[in-house]
Amino acid sequence: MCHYCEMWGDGTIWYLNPRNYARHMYTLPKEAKPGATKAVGEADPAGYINLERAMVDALERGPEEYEKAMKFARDMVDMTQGSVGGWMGQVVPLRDAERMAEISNPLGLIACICRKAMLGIEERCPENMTCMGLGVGMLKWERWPERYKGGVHWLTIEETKQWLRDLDTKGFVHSLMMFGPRFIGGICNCDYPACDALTMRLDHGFNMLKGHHVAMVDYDLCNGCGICVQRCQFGALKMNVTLDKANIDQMRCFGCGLCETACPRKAISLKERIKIPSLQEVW
Amino acid sequence: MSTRSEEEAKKTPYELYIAPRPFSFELDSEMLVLLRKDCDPPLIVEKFAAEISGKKQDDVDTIAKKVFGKYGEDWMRRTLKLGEEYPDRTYEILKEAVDKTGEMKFPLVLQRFIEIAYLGTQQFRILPIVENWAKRLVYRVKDCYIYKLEVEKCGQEVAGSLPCRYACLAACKTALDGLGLDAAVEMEATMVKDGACQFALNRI
Amino acid sequence: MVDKSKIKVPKATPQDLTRLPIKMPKITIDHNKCTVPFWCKKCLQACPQLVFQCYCKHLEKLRESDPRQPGIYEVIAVRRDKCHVCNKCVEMCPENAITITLEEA
Ligand code: SF4
Ligand code: SF4
Ligand code: SF4
Ligand code: SF4
Repeated sequence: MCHYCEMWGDGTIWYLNPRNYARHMYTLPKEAKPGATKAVGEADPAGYINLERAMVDALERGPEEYEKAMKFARDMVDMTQGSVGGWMGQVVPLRDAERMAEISNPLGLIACICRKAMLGIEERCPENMTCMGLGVGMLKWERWPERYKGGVHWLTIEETKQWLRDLDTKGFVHSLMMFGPRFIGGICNCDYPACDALTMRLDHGFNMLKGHHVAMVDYDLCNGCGICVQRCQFGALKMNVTLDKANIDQMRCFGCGLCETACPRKAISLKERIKIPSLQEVW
Repeated sequence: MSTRSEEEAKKTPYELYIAPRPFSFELDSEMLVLLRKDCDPPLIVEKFAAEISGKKQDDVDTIAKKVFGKYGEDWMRRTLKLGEEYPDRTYEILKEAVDKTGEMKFPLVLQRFIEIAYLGTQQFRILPIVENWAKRLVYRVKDCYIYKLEVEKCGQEVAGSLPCRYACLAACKTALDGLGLDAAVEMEATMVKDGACQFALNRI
Repeated sequence: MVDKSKIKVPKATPQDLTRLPIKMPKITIDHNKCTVPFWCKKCLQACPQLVFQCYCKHLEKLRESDPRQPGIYEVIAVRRDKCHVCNKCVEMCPENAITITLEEA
């Protein structure tokens, strides 16, 4: 069990617990004035860049400064529970992402904010949108059209699963994101280094958790075709040239399951992290 | 999946989204005032207190069922009517989503009207939603205004038997009927035992 | 409520802290020359290390910002620690807005 499960799982894996997707639709203003619209304390969608910039700048000034910047960023996440550029998230394999689609709604296809910032990519039409917004907040996307460039496109549960499978085929890592206390607000599909959450985790060890699984290769089934090797975004998977088999460094594996879904010989399987003594505490 | 390249996107006219009018995504305050006028908790609790005065303890439950059951129905009917008459932008988008996908009427449309019903009569600003997914809608009522009035007007003993639960249960039932949905209504926690009432609308 | 004492965060810092401070190139972008970065975005896509990030300076409610209007977006060099001074961005920039300097030790 990861610490999110301890806090919010109620005995199950936390992201399979429907309570972590529920949210109210309306908030009454403090004093009701007729016709007044409420000012929303929405997070600045570009705010996350500042944390990363502060951390990189601190690298230049020395270890103490770096620790300080890291601590500031972590306090920020504790305080806001992921609602301000917090990246409280976790990597999930395709099968869990599909189950997440069943227990949350509405499901709305949106454009990726990271790729917009890092590469200037505009996903203005639903065909190339790669992000999924969950929860009733999506109904209010028109408050911030700049964040939701191209709008929100509603999908049914089945369409969402198909869309997730398509992105999995392309090779995107699925992860979930929290936006506010105990509220899972999105399924991201991205890669390193375009995804800011993955980049912050891999470069600075910051906050995104590894998934609940670890991949393992069955050497009897693997024929060394190497198809899986292109899929790993985490540097955990390579060819063992001597044996001519795929080889996974399980300390590095994030359990994204991309190698598993790609292997034509079903040689890779996902094992539960908590059942492996040496990896139980590696999140 | 076909992808539109950056170049193509730039050649076609670059349309920027600009909201056609200053949308409000929150509930219409006028609607809430109207709802409170018609279904104000003090009125119904006073009525109930008057009906049970001098009656035996055994009769209280039957009277509660009648009085609060009727109130719950009227209250939700009024909510359904007012909620349709005063749409906000959130509801418009929700209706679009429901039309497009054919899903989400349960729980989201239902959730909207239940939120209006409580926000329009209670004293809190948020109705905590515990679960809202395709099979279950669960919400929680803490610091209930009706319960508070019951304790004041009818005493702790009567309030402790939660006569008002008939109102909430009837309201849920009416909302389901009014929206043409099918689900079982259940009370999962009570004010007396758990400090908050929790109602679940189950499709499992 | 959330028990904050329970929040643990991954303790790994892959950057070898003993080697800090690391030397990074100074990357400056002249915002007077680079006015419409989200429309140009050449450096964003040319840099192999994804050093640059582009963000909207003028977020507005209920309307999308126009990337063709000067001054709405800004490009900044965030991940400077990764720049290996290949000068691709400098070559690509149509406005000559980027300068990269490596300080001598
Ligand atoms: S794709 Fe499967 S068979 Fe091919 S190298 Fe990887 S594990 Fe082995
Ligand atoms: S080894 Fe497989 S499951 Fe593990 S991180 Fe790499 S692609 Fe994902
Ligand atoms: S010099 Fe090369 S690595 Fe450095 S910012 Fe420019 S393109 Fe990127
Ligand atoms: S290439 Fe030059 S002009 Fe274009 S966005 Fe980058 S800095 Fe600005």
